[in-house]
Formats: sequence, C-alpha cells, structure tokens
Amino acid sequence: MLKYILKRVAAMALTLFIILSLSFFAIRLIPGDIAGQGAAPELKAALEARYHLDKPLLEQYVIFLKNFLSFDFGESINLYPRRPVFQIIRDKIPTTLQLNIFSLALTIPIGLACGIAAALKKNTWVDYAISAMVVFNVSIPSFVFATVMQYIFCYKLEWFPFLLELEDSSFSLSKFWSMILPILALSFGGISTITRYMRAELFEALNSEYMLLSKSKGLSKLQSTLRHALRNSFIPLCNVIIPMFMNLLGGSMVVENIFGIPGIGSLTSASIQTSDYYLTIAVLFFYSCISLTSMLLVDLSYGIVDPRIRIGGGKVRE
Amino acid sequence: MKIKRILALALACMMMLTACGSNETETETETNTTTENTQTETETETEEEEVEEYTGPKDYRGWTTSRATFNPQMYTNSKTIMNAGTLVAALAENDELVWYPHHASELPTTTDGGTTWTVKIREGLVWSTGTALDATDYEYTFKMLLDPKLVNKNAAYAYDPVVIVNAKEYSQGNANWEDVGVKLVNDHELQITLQYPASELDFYSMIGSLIWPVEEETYEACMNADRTSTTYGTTLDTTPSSGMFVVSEWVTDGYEKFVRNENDPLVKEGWVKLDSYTSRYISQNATRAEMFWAGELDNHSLTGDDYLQYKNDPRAHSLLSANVWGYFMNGASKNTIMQQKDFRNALHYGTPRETICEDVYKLYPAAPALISTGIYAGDGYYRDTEAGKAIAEKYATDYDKAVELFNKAYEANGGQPVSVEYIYFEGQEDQKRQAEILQEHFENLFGSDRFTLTLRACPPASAYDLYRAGEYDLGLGVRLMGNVFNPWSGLNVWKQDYADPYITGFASDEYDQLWFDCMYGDIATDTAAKVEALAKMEELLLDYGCFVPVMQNNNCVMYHERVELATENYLPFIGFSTNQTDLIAAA
Repeated sequence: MLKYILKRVAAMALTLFIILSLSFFAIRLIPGDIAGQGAAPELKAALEARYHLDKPLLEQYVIFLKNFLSFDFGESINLYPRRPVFQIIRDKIPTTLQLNIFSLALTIPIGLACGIAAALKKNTWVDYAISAMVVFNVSIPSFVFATVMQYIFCYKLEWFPFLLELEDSSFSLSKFWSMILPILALSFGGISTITRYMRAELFEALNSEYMLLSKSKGLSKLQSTLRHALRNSFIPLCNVIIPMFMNLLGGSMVVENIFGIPGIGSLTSASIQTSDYYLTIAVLFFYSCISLTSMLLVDLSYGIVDPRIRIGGGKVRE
Repeated sequence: MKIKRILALALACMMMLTACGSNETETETETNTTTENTQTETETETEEEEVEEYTGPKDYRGWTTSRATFNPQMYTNSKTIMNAGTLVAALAENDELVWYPHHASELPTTTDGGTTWTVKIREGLVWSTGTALDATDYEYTFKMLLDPKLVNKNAAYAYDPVVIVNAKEYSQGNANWEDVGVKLVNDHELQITLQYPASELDFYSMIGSLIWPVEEETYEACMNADRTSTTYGTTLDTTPSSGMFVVSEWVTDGYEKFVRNENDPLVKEGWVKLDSYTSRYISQNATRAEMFWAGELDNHSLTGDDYLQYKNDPRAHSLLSANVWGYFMNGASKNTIMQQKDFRNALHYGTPRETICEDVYKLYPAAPALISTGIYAGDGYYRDTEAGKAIAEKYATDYDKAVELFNKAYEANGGQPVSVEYIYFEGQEDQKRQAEILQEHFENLFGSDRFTLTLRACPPASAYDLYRAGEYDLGLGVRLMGNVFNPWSGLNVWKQDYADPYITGFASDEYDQLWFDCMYGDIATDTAAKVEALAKMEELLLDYGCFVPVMQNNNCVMYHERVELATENYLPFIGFSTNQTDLIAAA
C-alpha cells in the first residue's frame, strides 16, 4: 500500500509539473496588457522588465521554475498589486471553507436520504417526486437558484440579509443566518448528484442475487438493506463524495459574487482577465493539487470500502 | 395517473415560482415609484424640519466592485483618496469646485510664472498611527513613488503632464535623487521645480491632489530585502491614514469601513459631515439594485430600463464620463477604400450614433466629437465653449453628406463594390448589437450592392493588439482621457512620436506642434489660446478620420432620500464629492 501511495505521489508531482509548465506557456499566449489600458508606454516597459516579460519566453520559464522551486510563487501584478499570491489564496480559503463545510453537511445526508428513499420506493410517487426534484436541480444552474432565492427571501420576504455578514469575524447566529441562502444555493447541485447515484446503485443492489439470499436466510428487508445493499452501493459513491470533500477548498464564482462572499471562487477568472500571470498560475496550481489529491483519495478509498479491492498488491499467486 | 398528477403538481409549483418573479417586480416597482414621488411631494416641509433635527449616527452605506490595495502609489480610485490626504483638496462649495489647502497650510504658490512652486505644510498633522506628518513625509513619498526598483503605477503623476525636473529620469534610473526637482526646505516646506511652467489648475489638480503621502515607518517595514517591493497598504495593519477618513475595517473583497478622522484639518474646519462610510463589495448589479430599493444602500447606478424609468427622478444624478467611445479607422489599411479620406468621413457622418444610443445603450448620449462633455478646459467645460460647440456642430451626424462623400470615394476607388471589416469586443452583447445596427444602417445608406460591412468579434486585448499592428479596417474602442482638467495631455496618443500608438495613418506635424505648445510651449498657461488650439487639434483628427466618436459612457447614480449631496451640479474630478455628503435621516 505504501509503495502504491509513493508511486502515485511521484506521478502526481510529475503531473503537477506538466500542468505548471502548460499553464505558464498557455497564459503567456493569452493577449493582454499587464499595465492596463491607457497606461503610459514607459510604465508598461518598466513593468515588463520587472516581471521579466521582456526576456525570451524560455528564459522567463527558467526564472519562473527557479523561483517556484524555492517556494517564491511571486506577487500579484494587477488584481491585488504587490501582494504575495500565496497570501491571497491563504486569506480567501477560510471563508470558502466555512461555507462549503456547511454546504457539505447538508448535501451528503439529504442526498443519501433522498437516493435511498427513491430506490426503496421505486416507481411510487416518492420516487417520482425525488426524481423531479433532481431534474429540476440539475437543469437549473446555481446562479439562477441563488438569484431567485435572493429575490424572494431577501428582497420580497426580507427573511434573510442580502449579503454574507462579515462585520463580525467570530461565528455568530446572525452570521450563520446570513449563510443559509448561499449554503442552499451551493447544495442543490450536490444533493441531486448524490441522490441520482445513490438511487441507481441501491436499486441495482436491491435486485441482486445476494439480497435474495439474505432474505432467504431470514433477514428482514431493513436488515438486508442496511447490512448488504447499502454498503455495496457506497463503492461507486466514493467517486462523488470524496471529491466533494476536496472541493471544500474550491469556491463557486457565481454564488460568491451574488452573496458578496470574499472567497476564492472568482479568483481564476479575475486573474486571467487582468493578465495577472503569477496569480493565475498559483490558482491553477492550487486547484490541480486539490483535484489530484482527491483522485488519489478516491482510489485509496475503494480498498477501504470494499475489502475485495486490494490496491497496489503484488502479483496474484497461482 | 400518478405520473400525471405529479407532473401537474410540479407544473403548478413552477408556475407559482414564476408568478413570484417578473409580474410582481413590475407592479412593485411602479407602486414604489408612485409612493415615493407622492411622499416627496407631500412631505417636503416636514422633511426639511427633520433635516435640522437629525443628530443620529451618520454612516453612509455605499458599495464598490473592487478594492485592490490601499497603497496610494499603486492604485487610484475615489475610495483610496478617502483615507489619503493631499496637499490640496478639491471640494464642493456653493455648487462649484474649489481648491483648498489640505495638508498644505496655504495654496502652493509660484513666483516665476509656474516653474518653481513653494509648498508649505501645516503644523500639527498626524498619521492615524500617531506619528507626525510633515514635509519630510512628502519628500519621502516622492522618492518612493519614483523609485526605479519599485515601478509604481502612479509614478507618472510626478512627470505627466506636469513635469518635475528629472522625475522621469530618476524613475528610469538615469538620474540621482539630488537632481530631482523636489527639495526639502525645512520640516514644513518643500520646493518643487518643474521643467515647464504649469498653471495653478494643473499644479493643484496633479501634484496638489494626486500625490498621496505614505508613512515612512510602515512603508519601510513592509519593504522586501532587495527593496523591490513593499506590501504597504495591502492589509489593514499596513494602511496608515492621513485623510478626512481613517480606514478602520477592511476585509479584502468583502467590505471596508472608513471613520471620520478627527485630527484632519478639513474635518476640524467642518467640511465633513459623515461619521463613517461603509462600503460593501457587491459585483452583481441585480443585488445592488435590490438592496437599494430595499433601503439597504444609499446609492445605486442605474442601467438600461431602470435608467429610462428613473432618469427624471430627483434622486437620480448623471455623472459625466471623461471618455468618448467609438471606433478607430485605419487609413493605412491594405484595403484601398480605407485609404480614401472621403470614405472615412462618410462613415463618420453616416454613423447612426443617436439610434445606437437610443436602442442599445440608453444611458449614454451620442457624441459626434472626440472630447467628452465632462472635460474641463480652463474655466469651464470645453464643449460649452464656442470653439467646442463649433466642432460638435460641424461633425454632427449628416446622412446626406455621408452619401455624397461615399459616392466620391466609391468613384475614386474604381466604382467597385467595397467591403470593410468591423471589429467589436467578444462577449459584450451591447457592442454586438451596436455592430449589427452599424452593419444594417450602412448597407441601407450606401446600398448593399456597393457596400458590405463584415463583423468580427475579438477579445478586447486581441482587438487592441490588432489596432497596434494596423491589421484592421474599423475597430471599436476608446482612448482614455486620464485627466479631466488637461485634455491636451490625453491627446498625446495621436502624436507621431507616441510610444504605443494604434495605427490609423494619422500623422500631422501641425498637430504635434499644437500639442507641444499647449502642454509646454508658449501658450501653456494661456487658457483661451489653449482652447482654440484644442479645437484645432480635434478638427485635425476628425478631418482625417482616424476615430469615429459614437457615445459618451456616462453613468447615472440614484441616491437614497436621506442623502444630501454637497453639490447639486456634477463637478469635474470630485463628482458629487462623496467626502462631503451628509445624511439627513436615519436609514
């Protein structure tokens, strides 16, 4: 197992290096002006010299790699001038994390419950209602949910504040109250995804032969479902749920913009739009790390959830 | 049957949800307007009495879409100015703009016609950190602003358009600090020497108002080891204040709060009425609109249909933009028809700017000339001068003249059908519609058998790169006019020696000479002559046909009933002077 993990970590490092290099060259290809439109030509020239953009691309790449390997990720050029990019990401994570934890705490139990209910009550009104909810959630983008909820619950009914409460840095009831709508907006998509997977997997498990066997052994429906069907249904769900945990660190641009959340969500697009090269690369690197780690965890989790799957084992003995 | 019932139920739910939406919006909005108008009319007298009596907290609730830094040498916007002091303050008094000494003890003076300026600093000034602020802070500020290693974005404020001796050379590492025209006479006096004489207006509006001091102790503490970067103004702890307000709270991209600075001389003299100013970061216009109508914001920018509905509301105030948008014309294009001056002029006169503004932008007025109505020249707005008016009239939309000019150009081009390409910015629906209107209109005006306009969408940065390379026929865009008091400065982009030109084929020695005369030559301090020269420069550009002005991107802000503005008139540079705003009722 340890050998397998080490191999995967080495592969991750290589992948990250490739992503980093591709990001570097791809971003340089995007047209843009680091000094901003209307800036004096001499300022533009001075800024290009400061960030080595006046040098050949290969030389820029070598300088970039050298700095990166010495943990110097650079500073923001335009979006947050002169602020170290690492500091920008670090400062934005707590808000995003706080919101996403609540969202996940809502998404997973509700998604599982709906999926189980739909599978157990397949082809009844319960199943149809849940399926309609899933289709509704999947087909309507989160920004529509967020906008409609804000309009109805904040503007018309005045039940919730429009924006996330930021004045009080500590956690309070009023702050939690202001988080409810963004949490809901973030959760709808996840709930539908889990429900869909859970329903499909559990339904398949319920109709399998080992369930027939368990019943014939005298187990009640509840017992056989809990002990056998549910556990087997969870294996494919690892693919969905574990990345959700990893995505706790990633924000949603649209929801954050609508509810005035100073999170990490809009950092990628904003940095690309402003030709903020170092910040863009740092954000892409950050997201790449999250994705690769979650993929590794998903693979490792298979072995934990299902003992039949052994990862990184040697050759099968005859 | 069950499925049908469930589907019917779902459909009913969706219909209910929809019903909560658009129809109610319209009804509510109309109702609100009527109610608010009636209230305004019937309760005027009562409100006036309440204005006198209101003594509650005065916290203005504004909004912003960005907050990059509080480092005044790196970024400028009105909120940055709020916590940063200046030598001279631009203030609103009796609906007019006045220049008033802020950190200076009196308005800076010159004894040799505008080359050498004496700036005396008040005694007793302090930073929000408690340390004293005097002339040495300003000397340090100039030195850091121009530091060649730091490459500060606002360094040009010290040499463009008002040129401090050797400032640019020092910022490029080609001079010593001792050679720069900023000299510390004593702890409360600076002498600033300019390369060319400057008028009082130029000196006050540039050196006087755009050099915000930095606190040396914090600035140095935030400096990196090789002195190439400082994190000054990037967090609350590293943001000392010296202006009418002090930054008291700041969450990046969240909100910021400024409280009145009781130590500031202008506050002591009673220019500031607000206790505090809180600004939330709200990027969505819809959210801002809902918050404003719910009474949770004190101002809101009107757009589109909202503007049409409320433009005559007494709470709505127009803000004049300094910029005119339009499209560049490449007289040096390989497309031979573009090389015809008559053809370019035909496009100018034939552009349906009024239709575009009415159908697409709504908020923006049509502009037939290059210089906006928000640009000041001397004692008033340039477009209100006789010379300015004459240019606007001469180049106003005229379809008959356009057809006449097109016919001449068409014949000169061999009578062959012509086709030109128009570049607009990708992802901008308004600009796409503008392009389509142009396409339809020109083809109808000149005849689709003789003229074709092809449209091409480009990301803005790519479009401007094409303009720089001269690889375009027509291209949407703008040349920003940085300084509302000095339009000549912004017109340097059309000079032959400008370092970052967009290729249009325009090259005029007469234009270049006029520019120099206005900026640094014989008429630099002669306002009347400069206005005449400005009109001539504008005429040269329009006559050649390098840019077709279309619209001026004005803004319209609606203020809450409780807001009492410092001026009823929009004033250049300070707008409605937010710093001086008063609140006459509770939220």
